Amino acid sequence: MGGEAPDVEGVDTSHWDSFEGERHQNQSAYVLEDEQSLVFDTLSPASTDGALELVDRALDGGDLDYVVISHPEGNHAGNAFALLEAHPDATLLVPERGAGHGSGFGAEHELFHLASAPESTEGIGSRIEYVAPGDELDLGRFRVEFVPATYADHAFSVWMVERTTNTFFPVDWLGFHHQNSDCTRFADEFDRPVTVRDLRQFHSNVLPWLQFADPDVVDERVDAVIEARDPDRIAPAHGTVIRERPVEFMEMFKRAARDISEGGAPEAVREQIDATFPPGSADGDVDEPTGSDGDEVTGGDESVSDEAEADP
Amino acid sequence: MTLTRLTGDVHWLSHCEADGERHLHLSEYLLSGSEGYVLVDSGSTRFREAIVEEVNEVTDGAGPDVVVLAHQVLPHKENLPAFEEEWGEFDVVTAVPRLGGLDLIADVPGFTDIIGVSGARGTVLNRPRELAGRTITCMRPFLTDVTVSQWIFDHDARVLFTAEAFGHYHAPGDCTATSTDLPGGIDPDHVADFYRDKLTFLDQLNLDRMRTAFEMLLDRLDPRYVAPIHGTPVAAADLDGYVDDVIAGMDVSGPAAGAPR
Repeated sequence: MGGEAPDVEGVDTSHWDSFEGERHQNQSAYVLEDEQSLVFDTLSPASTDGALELVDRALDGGDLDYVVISHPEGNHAGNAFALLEAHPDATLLVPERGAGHGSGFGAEHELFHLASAPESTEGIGSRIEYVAPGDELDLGRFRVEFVPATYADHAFSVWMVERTTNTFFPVDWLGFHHQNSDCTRFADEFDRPVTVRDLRQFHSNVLPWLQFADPDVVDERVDAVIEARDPDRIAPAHGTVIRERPVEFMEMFKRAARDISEGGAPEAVREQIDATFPPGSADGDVDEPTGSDGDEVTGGDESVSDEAEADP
Repeated sequence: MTLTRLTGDVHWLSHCEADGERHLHLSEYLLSGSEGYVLVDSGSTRFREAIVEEVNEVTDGAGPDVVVLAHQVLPHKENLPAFEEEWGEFDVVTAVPRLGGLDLIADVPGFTDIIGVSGARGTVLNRPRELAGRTITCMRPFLTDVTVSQWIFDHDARVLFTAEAFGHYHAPGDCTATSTDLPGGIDPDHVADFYRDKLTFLDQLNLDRMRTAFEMLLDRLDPRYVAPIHGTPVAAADLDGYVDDVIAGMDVSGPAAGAPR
């Protein structure tokens, strides 16, 4: 796991994920390889060639047994079928059901073209299996378990843990941007350490509902994750691997979420609405703005102070 | 026929997927403007032929000039390539991740390929824009699952288009009914079931603040309809009661399904 991430063939990675010119965001997948092998998430379809090459390099000539998609979004699942095509004996593992509070909609897998057809002997459907929290895989040196996704953007999501190294894979949760000098470093090696502000900026975008969150309940949910997982490493999809003090990152998230929730206060919402739809503007007789394109009226991260905060 | 005239120049293309006695809408909306047509969402490939047929009927075969995506994920965007083959080029307006002041589509080479919507242009959120002769404001949603989502307010018709938010299931036989066509209104259980299936974070929401935000926005917009991709269009007269049902439906109790075990 981890290691150096070479350039992705055919994709200008020096620009596509930059933030404020000097900040980048990871798009990570993880390969576990021993007696059996597994890739957790598949990267964007815009980098198919590079993704296939990276997986092959990680396998070092070995076979791929499992392709796991944490949830059916393009930047996580976009190369699933390409990987299955390149590795004809691999099985695609997808979340069995939603991570929400209900029973789930029965046709959801069909809508995402991920319907399993175990009775069939050919076709993608015959190679799809569903995984649910509590399911485990023994890969040899590595033992993975799928666990509930407490912080997921898409309802059909699953997190993963690896028991031997006690590594926690929280997918879209606990991501953060980094300076371009830190792209292939672990978080503890960064020139510029990760701050609460970084987590606030990332999560106000990825989990926009935090604007209307009850921060006390968020604290409880994060504490429950800490107690259940207590990881030695955290391997997020959109941040580099956290090897040192992983629980402190989860504590920082609690502070970030509390800040983000200020954007849902009625006075902040009123400000957003007034700026977007000034009184009288809801009918068709409105003027196009003369200001610069791309400006946004925002709550969330822009509504709170912007100073750098303490390191984890 | 799944084509319903919602207002004088807004058509509802109603398509749905069945799960036993529960159906899920995957709708599109077609707006006629002075300079062309705006299609809200491209829909699922499972309904592609019907969508093309219905769009052709309204546009006399011309197709849309602009497609505005409520969501930038499957199944909302997946007909775009086929539509381009069918009707030639059109503008695609999509929500992009919000990263400070950076316009990802304008500033990042190849970004639209990365998100799988080649040739799209990004939404300028929270500002009115003229699209095919209609005045439209795309706003950052107050409630959504994935961040690459937008609510779309058409000022001319006063219709607010949403995706996951304000969605609900419906019963077989109610597939083309608006809220005013349903004698008993929208079934609150269909509302609650939908939110509990679709949104993982209900237990962590401050529902009083959520309700206040909904009410403030709807009070300002005074929409004739709230028209979700995943639900029955809700007419103005039904909105107050519907918001009550939405808030009640999101009120989950007991241990969270997403809590660690």
